[in-house]
Amino acid sequence: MELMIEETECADQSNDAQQMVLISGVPDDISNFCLARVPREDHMAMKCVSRRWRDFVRSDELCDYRNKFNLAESWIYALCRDISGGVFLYVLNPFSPRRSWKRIHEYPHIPMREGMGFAALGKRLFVLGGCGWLEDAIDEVSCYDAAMNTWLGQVPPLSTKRCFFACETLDGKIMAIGGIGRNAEVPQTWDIYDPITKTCKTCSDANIVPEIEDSFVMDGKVYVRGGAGSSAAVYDASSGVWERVDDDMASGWRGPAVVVADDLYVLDQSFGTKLTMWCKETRVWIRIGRLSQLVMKQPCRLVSIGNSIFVIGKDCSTVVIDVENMRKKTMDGVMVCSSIPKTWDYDIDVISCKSVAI
Amino acid sequence: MSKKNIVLKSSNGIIFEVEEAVALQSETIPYMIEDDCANDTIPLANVTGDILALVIEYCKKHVVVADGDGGGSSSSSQEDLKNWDAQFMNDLDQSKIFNLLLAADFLNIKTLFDLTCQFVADTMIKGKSVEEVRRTLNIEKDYTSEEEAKARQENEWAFK
Repeated sequence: MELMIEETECADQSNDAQQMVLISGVPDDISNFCLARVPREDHMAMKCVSRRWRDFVRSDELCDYRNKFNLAESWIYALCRDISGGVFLYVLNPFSPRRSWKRIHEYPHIPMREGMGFAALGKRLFVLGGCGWLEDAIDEVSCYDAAMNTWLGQVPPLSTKRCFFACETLDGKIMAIGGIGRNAEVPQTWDIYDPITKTCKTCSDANIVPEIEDSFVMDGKVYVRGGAGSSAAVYDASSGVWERVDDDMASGWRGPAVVVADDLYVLDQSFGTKLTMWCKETRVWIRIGRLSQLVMKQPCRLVSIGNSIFVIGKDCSTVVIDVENMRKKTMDGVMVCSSIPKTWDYDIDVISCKSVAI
Repeated sequence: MSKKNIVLKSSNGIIFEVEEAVALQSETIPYMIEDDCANDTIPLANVTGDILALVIEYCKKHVVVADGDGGGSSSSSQEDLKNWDAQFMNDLDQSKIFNLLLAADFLNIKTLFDLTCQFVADTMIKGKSVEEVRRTLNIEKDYTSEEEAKARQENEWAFK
């Protein structure tokens, strides 16, 4: 009986949807183009207009339109831990004139865990695996849809229980690489997680480095780096094989890395904070400049949008470096950049940062 | 080379004679020329005279600039054209804007369609309150009060 009621309700709603148009007097396929051109900052208000507007703003269709016509705007999402151990998402619209980080305070859906992976795919963010104080590595996955501003239920798990692993996206799939699991083989395995087909498969390769600290994707290859003194490995999707990274490159990768316009940048935080760039042609690391210590608290995470690197430190204090202008604008080797201060007075640690374009 | 003219007829029977280059900014018209006899008038059953006049005004302006400088328009003429576009749109009332949007879609004039969509987005939705959007675009509220409260709560969070 209950099922019956649900069905009638559904039917009613779809009926409504057929009668209502987005803009009266204009066919929906044309209205879509108008709505898609409104800046992302207005999307929340647009969802209040009507059901049809809400459904369109939340849809993949809007996202596809905006990507297709180069209208998509990237916002940065930071997975953070507060002093109580609670894990939350914060968001920053880097193009807003009043740019500031905001906590996404939907119910605290992410369990108190450590060593989770964080990945962005399309308009969705994934929090994968991890472990608790009294709990071994797990395989659970949570998914947040940025356009819907909700956590989705029923997301398939990883095929391996793991924590403290590298997490990157390649060819529309998430790779959960190495880390620690419930048996000794896990550090040499990786999972390929496909949210579209809802499948996950595990592969193994002895070249994956232990104690992975950092990772990035460049030229269609995934690079991972182990802890201090250990080496780096690179994965080529076309061959499906991991290989060790040459020493000249691995030796300079001494901090969080980010790729901007196919170039690799690393924030070396060993003595002060300086930005270096890997020159592919000459295979040497080039020093770009220092960051003032005053604006940032370590450790830092990096995200790139367009030609800008966002350096996100403790408490989400953020510095923006424009890679194009960077060399022109250094003063005594200190880079001139803009900063976004934190707007709250409690301490939070930034676990990982990703950008999502809608 | 002699310039060929094309004759367009609006839905309410008004005749416009334009240079071929002006008319060919529409990707729909070439098909109509092929279908009908080239010497005949091309009837545009979906576009009224006042809107067709606007479309032609736009196309004339844009064909002139595209011809100038041997095809590669300078940045200043690009700037002028932008200003002209903005003024052109600003002079129209809302019903003309929507009719122009439909005409640009029907005639498949990509730049005019994009311009009009962007104008609707910028002047009728962007930065407006929910009530303003509903009023301007004549949208009936179909939310239950519960659903609306939820959406508004989310919206308030976004602007805190």
